[in-house]
Parts: sequence; C-alpha cells; structure tokens
Amino acid sequence: MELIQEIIIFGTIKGCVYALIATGFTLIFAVAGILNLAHGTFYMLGAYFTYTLFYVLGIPLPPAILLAAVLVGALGMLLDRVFLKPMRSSHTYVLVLTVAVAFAAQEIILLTYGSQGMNIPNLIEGSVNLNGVVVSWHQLLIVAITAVVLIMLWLVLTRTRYGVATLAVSMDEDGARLVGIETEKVFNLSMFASAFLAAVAGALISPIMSMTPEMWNMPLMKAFVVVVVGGIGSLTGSIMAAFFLGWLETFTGFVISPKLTEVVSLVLLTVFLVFRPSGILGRRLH
Amino acid sequence: MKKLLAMMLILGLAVMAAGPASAADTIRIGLLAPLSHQVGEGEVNAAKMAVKRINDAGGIDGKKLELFIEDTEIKPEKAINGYKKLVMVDKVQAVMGAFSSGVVLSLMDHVARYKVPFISTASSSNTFGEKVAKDYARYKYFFRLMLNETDQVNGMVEFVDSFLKPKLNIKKVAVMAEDAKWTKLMGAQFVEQIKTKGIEVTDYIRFPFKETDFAPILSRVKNAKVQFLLEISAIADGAVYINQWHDMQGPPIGGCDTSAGSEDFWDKTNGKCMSETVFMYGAYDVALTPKTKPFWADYIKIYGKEPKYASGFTYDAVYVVANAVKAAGTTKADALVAAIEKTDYVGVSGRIQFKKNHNTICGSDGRPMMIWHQWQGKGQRLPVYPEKYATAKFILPAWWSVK
Amino acid sequence: MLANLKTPAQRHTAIFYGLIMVGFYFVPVFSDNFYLLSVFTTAYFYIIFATSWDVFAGYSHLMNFGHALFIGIAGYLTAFVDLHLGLPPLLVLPMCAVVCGLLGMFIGYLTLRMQGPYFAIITMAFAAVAYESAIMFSEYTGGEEGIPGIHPLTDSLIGDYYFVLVVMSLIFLFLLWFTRGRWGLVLKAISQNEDAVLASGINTAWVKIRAYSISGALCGIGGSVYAYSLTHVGPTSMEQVLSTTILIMAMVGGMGTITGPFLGALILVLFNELSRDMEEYRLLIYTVMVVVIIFFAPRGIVSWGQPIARAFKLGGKRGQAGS
Repeated sequence: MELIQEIIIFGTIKGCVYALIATGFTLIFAVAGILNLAHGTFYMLGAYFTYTLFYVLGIPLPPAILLAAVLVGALGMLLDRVFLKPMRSSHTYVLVLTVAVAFAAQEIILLTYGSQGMNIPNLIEGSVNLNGVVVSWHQLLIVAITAVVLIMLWLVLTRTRYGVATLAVSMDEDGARLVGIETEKVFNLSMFASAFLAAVAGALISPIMSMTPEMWNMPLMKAFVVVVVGGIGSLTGSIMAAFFLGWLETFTGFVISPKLTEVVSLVLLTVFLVFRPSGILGRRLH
Repeated sequence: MKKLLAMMLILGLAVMAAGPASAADTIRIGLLAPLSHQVGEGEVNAAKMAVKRINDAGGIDGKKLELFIEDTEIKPEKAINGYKKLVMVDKVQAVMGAFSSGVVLSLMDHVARYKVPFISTASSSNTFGEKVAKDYARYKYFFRLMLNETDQVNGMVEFVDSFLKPKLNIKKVAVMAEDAKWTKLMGAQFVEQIKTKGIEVTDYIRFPFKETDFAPILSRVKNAKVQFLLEISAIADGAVYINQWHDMQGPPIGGCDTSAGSEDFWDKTNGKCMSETVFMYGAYDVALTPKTKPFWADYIKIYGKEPKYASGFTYDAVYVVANAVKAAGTTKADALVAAIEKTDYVGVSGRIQFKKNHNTICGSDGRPMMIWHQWQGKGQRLPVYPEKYATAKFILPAWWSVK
Repeated sequence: MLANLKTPAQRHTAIFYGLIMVGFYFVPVFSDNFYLLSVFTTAYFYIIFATSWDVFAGYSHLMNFGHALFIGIAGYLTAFVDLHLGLPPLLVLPMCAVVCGLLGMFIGYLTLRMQGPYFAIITMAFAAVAYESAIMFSEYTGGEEGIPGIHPLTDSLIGDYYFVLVVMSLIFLFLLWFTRGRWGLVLKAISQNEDAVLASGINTAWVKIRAYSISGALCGIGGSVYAYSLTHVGPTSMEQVLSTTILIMAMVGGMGTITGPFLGALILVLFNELSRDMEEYRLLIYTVMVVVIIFFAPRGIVSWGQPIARAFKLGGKRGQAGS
C-alpha cells in the first residue's frame, strides 16, 4: 500500500513540473506554430537567474523566483522579436535557430557558472510525513504553485481580451487577423507566458535536482513527449499527458527499475509519433 | 594558379601555426586533468605547487621542471588526444593525473604504445594492476599512486563492521553506486564481504552520473528498513542525492562521495549533508605524516581553497617522478620506470611504495590512508575514525534513532 | 561526372575541389606534426558526417536532428565486433554500412508521412533513445564511460591519416556522383513539389527512404572509422550536440550541394582547432554563424564561389549556375 501512495505522491509532483514545462511549449506551438527547441533553455535560465538574484543580489527567494521568471519571459519575447519574427513561417529556420540558441545559452552558462551542479534552498525547509511517505514541504508547495499558475493561465485565456485573442489566433490565424486582432502582439505575449512557465518550473525544481548547464535537455525531451502524447496544440491534453507521464515514470522507477525511467518517456514519444501522431486529444496536423 | 597559391599559403600557415614547441633543457612533466572539475583543479594546483617548490630548491641536478597541462573534461577521447599532444608535441618525459577509471582505462593502451611513463593519481579500478601483472613488458609504463578498489572496499568493510555495527545496531545495509568502471568491482566486493560479517544487503543499486531523481532509490531503501546506506560516487554530484536523502529522511548515509570531500559541499547542500560520513584520502587536515598538515595549510594559503583528494597524490607523484629522475640520472623511459618501481618515499598522502603490479602499497607503515570524516556542527568535516586520528564523536541524522 | 562539366564555372569548381583533395594527400609531406594531422583527420570525419547528412536532409529539406545516431550505432558495433570477434576494419566498415543502411531504411519507412517539425522531433527521439539505452545497458556498453581499447586502424599516425582520408575521398566522390545524377534531381524536385513528382510516376516514398538509407550507411562508415581512430566509443558519440554540430556545418556550407557541407565542415573544424583559445566559445560562434548565414546567405558558403571567382576573373558569365 505504501508503494501505491508513494507512486501517487511522487508521480503527482513530477507531473506538476512536467505540466508547467509542457503547457508553455504547447501554447507557443498552438498559437504561433513555433516548435521552440530553446524551451528547455528558459527552464534552465529560470533556475540560474533565481540563483543569481538570491545569492548575488540577496533578494528573498519567493520574489527572486518571480523576478527571474519575468526576466526569462522578457528574454523569450526578445528571442521572438529579434530572431523568430522575420522567418517564423519556416519550420527549418525556427528549429535550427532555437537549437543553436539553446546550445549557445548552455555555453554562456558554462562559462559564467562552471559545470559543477549548484543549488538554491527550498522555499520552505522541512519535511512532512504523509501517512508513512516523507515528502518535503517544498515538493508539496510545487503542487500548490502549479495549481495556482495553471488556474491563472486558464483564467487569462478565457476571461481576458488577450486570452480570447490568443485562442482565436490558435484556431485560425488569418481569420483572427481579419477581425482586427494584432497577431504579433499575441505571439509575443504567448512567448512571454511560455518562457515564464518554463522558468518557474526550473526555479522550483532546482533545489531538488541541482542546476547544471546541461539541465535544459531533460525538460525539452519531456515537453516533446507530453505535447505529442497529449496531442499537439491541446492545452488540456498536455496537462493530462504531463500527469500521465509523471505517474508512469514514477511507477517504472519505483516498481520496475530506477534505470528505466528516462527511456520510458522516449519510447512513448517514438511510439506515439509513429503510430498516433495526433496524440490522445489533438487534431491531426500535417 | 592564384587559387593554387592561396591553397598552398593556407596550408603553409596551418603548418606553421601548429609547429612544434622548442625543446629546452628541462625535465618536462605532463598533467592530464579535467580542468573544470574540482578534482582536476586540485590536481593542477598541487602539481604547480610541487613543481614550483622543486624548482625553488634548485631543480633536479640543476635542471628545472616544466609542467604541461591538458584538459580531459572527464572524456576518454579528450584524454587520449591530450596524452598524445603531451607526448608528441610537448615531448614530456612523464605524464600524471587524470580523473576517473573509465578515462584512464582508455589511456592505458596509448601509454603502452607511446611508452612515456604515466602515474594515475585519481582512479581506482583494479583492472590496471591486473593488466600490468599480465603483460608487464607492455604495460610497465603505467603506475597508480592511489588506493585501488580492494583497498577501499577493505576500508569500508572495516568501518561498517567494526565502527558502525555496534553503534547503529546494524543488521541491514543497502549500497548505491554510480554506474562507472571504478565502482564495478568495488560494489560487488563490498556486498560479498559485508555479508560474511553477518550483515544483510537488501539492495545494490547502480545509478547513472546524470541521475537527478533519487526518490525511487531512497524509497526502496527506506521500505527495506535499512540501517545504513553506503554511497559510492565520485563523478556524479553528491549534492543531488544528499538533498533528496535529507528531505526524504533516509537512513544514516556514508561511504565514498568525492563531492562531499570538498569544503563547498555544506553550502551546496545548505547544510543538508549534516551527519554524512565519507572517507578521505590523499589530503586532509590530519597529522598522518609530518608533511600532511603543512601541505594542507600551505595549499590553503596559496589557493584559498582546501586541497582535494587527488591533490595529495598528484603532489606526491611530482616528487616521485623528480626523485626517480634523480636516481636514474636520465629521463629515458625504461630507466625511469625502474627507478619509480624502487620508490620508497614518505609524502603527503602516506608512505609510497609500488607493488609488482604498479599499485600503491597502502598502510605498510601502520598508517591508514583512509580517514573517515563526518559533516558536523556548522559545516566542518571532522575525523571520526580511526579513533587514533578522531577529533569528533560520531553523530546520527536528526530524524534517526537507533532501535 | 565529366559530362556535367560543361561550363567554365563548373570546370573551375571541379578544379577547386580537386586541388583541395590533392592538397589533403600532401599534408603529411609538409609536416608529420601529430597535432596538425589530427586536426585534419577530425575535419575529414566531420566532412563524412556533414556530407552524408546532406544527401538526405539537405536535398529533401526534412531536417534530420539525430544524425549522430548512426555514428554511435556504428561505433558500438565496431567496438563489439573488434573486441569480441577480432575482425579487420576492412570487414567491419561494410558491416557498419549495411547495418546503418538498414536502420536508415527502417527509420525512413516509419517516418515517411512526417513533415517538418515532426520529422525533426522523431530523429531527435531516436538518437535520444539510443543514447539513453547506451547509458542504461552499461554491462554491455560501459555506460557513460563507454568502451575503451578498440584496436587502432593502422600502426602509425600517418597510416591512420591516409586511411581516414581515403574513406572520406571515396564517400565524397560517391556522393557527388549520386547527387549529380538522376536521384539528386528527383530528390530536389520532391522537396519543391512532391505531388508533381508523384504525378510523373516516380515512387517518391522509395526515393526518400533510399536516400535516408544511403545517408545512414555512409555516416555509419564514418562512425566506424571514428571509433577506430579514437580507440574508444561512448554515448557522447550520439549526443544531441554532435547531431546539431553536423547540421550547422552543413547549413553554413550550403544545404543540398554536397560541396557545401564539405566546405562547411572543413572550414569550421579548421577554424575551431587552429584557434584553440576560442574553443570554449565554439558553439557560441557557430550560433552566430548560423544566424548570419540564414539571414544574409541562406544558400551557404558555396554560394560565394561565383562572386569570388568573378573577382579573380575566373568564373563564367553572370547568372550561370555554379557548383
């Protein structure tokens, strides 16, 4: 019984992080058609910016995370404006440019901070015993923050002018433009939201997993898996897939072998891409 | 025609740019180290320190030592290239250093091929000694100045059996080791030997260096009601699993954790490494030999940091080579090998002699090379075992009580 | 090949690459400096990787983000065969070509319907699966440290140098022949308008699968020689950064030309190795190059051949097709 509890608890925590990463990735793809290979970079920068704000500038942790996420969001907008805008229609260009940016960012982080892993402290120190399963308060906080952030995202998308405009653009870009929606603005704000969410995920996870210049790789792969399994362009699908993946990985790690966790998601990705490219909920895109 | 000329020009420039360094009348020593890793940094600093001291004291028979450094990045292909460059471009007479047995293993055949003596100062796989013993003529240029797997297993078994067992009432332990060549035999040997002491091993888990999620491993260990978790890691970042171990309130942990042997580990884990007990060798603030404590203090004075384990071995290796050159009166490889084999030198890390298979003889003068340190108080690593060198009492994790 | 050399520009191009190739064979005559030879050998590996990438991805515009998969698979195969069966390199190379060719065919078949980003993700995913598997099955693959002790190709550095150079030359010539013929034309046409090609009765799927298979096979040969040359294979040989580097080299040189990736790989490797102090900034510099190339010379370095030739009064008339 303890094992089932553990899988549910740790799987949910993992799922929350994946959800934060993947919703942003899906959002920008659904809205602007950008498959952003630098998405993991936002996650990494979220962690490193938080580290710098916290340790170097001495800002308390919660505002440091928020500020870092805003900064990363701004960087996302910058990336979109300067590099992606001129050639957004070319998938090849977007892919190559974003992957090149990702590696360049890795190099800059490596030169600035070195290759050794670094940590920031938990938001709240201490652990709690949940019916026999010891979990840190920080991990429970991740669940709470994810819930809040996702609900806010949903509110923004459904209750504000920009949100509705965003949904409109994601459904029919030309149509949205015809009715007077400034698509460029929508793209830009989506990029901000996307980078912001990834940065929050990176900052929240770094006390647990340490930050290294290569940490952007894992979330990028996970974002692929979640987005492909959940259906490309479907936010709800992504969130469902994120938790599915979190539980599946935790189950594999706890029950079968810890060694298998990383492969599970990749195999899932290949199988879905080959046999069901539209995912669980998505529409078929070609 | 113009294109042809341009081509020739480019080729000519390329040749010149990569031209050989001039050979001066010095004793040339090469150092391979992962420069961006703290162990490598410790190797570089120690080698520089030793070379400077020998030169300040007049060199070897009037000849100065010259140090050439190449980065391995803990990658075999980089290390191989670095070794070749040291041997062929810098024309060094001996090479030392490198970190991780996987890297050193891939170097062995190149050492045999180019016949320039190599002293490994940060690798512990038993394979090297076996190779030297099996094909001496081919591999005799290879030495290891450090404890091998068997030495470390013996030390760990002794610590768990004679120190921890009575203290913690140990009946069950689990082993987690990074999935590397140097831990292969070590993990298996420990499991085998600890069983003979009447201790059950519930799990022997190997994890990749880049593993970031230790919840499954820690959960298994906890559910098996283990009383001590033996860790074996050097390339992996110990802070990752120590943080998670603390937050999940795992059983007492200890063993080999190279990152925990560094003073910045306390800050990296925000103090969560409290009560982690790791063995250290090579360099520590313990009066093992008359040179150990002064080396520790001088190193900190020069570099503002504590030496790493490989620092002591690398520092000693420079002296071993220098002494061998002096004794042999030449830098010819075969004579140098013969002289190194005869080494009997009391250095920073202990008394150094080499076995027939070119492993280091450990503790022949009754001085143990492994000393167990525990993270305590406000971020100090204090020696707790062997009792002769201990300055602190062993403590338990705050959430743990002996049943 | 000769039939293609109709215009002066094409003849000059042929002479240009011919001279470079001949120059390569004379490098050891100038110097037996280990370092120089190893730099050139590295360049030849990247030339094999980049040109073999180009024959599929460059011509079909389906971006292959996981080309290093073939390097790694061939490398591990080489290690197993060399260490356990002791076969000579001349048998192992064709074996790697066949295995990687079949693998390419298989992946090509699976990914046939995919376009644009989907194809990019799946190639990435295949390489990542192989990478993670190499780490996971460490009993066989040596985990993150890989397998050391592969026997060297020959007993001397110069021998190794010529071995790699000959393999590279053969692959380069084969690729030129292959792409300058009918297949290249069809591939290019497919990338422009697949339906039109299909309508003219050509099985476009088969053309693409075949190109992918050839791309894999040739890269497999390169991967095998690479493993022999390093005497070691590890998961780093399948890393994303290697795939990306190959792709960038090909793009900087000029996709869909074979000669472009040849130049791109050669120039970037020489640039990188000869300015050693800059090595840390390598990827940063590559990124800047990609941006510059994409914005200002989307056809790559090869497209500069004509203006330069004109400046030297060598080229043909304005507007003639080059390379």
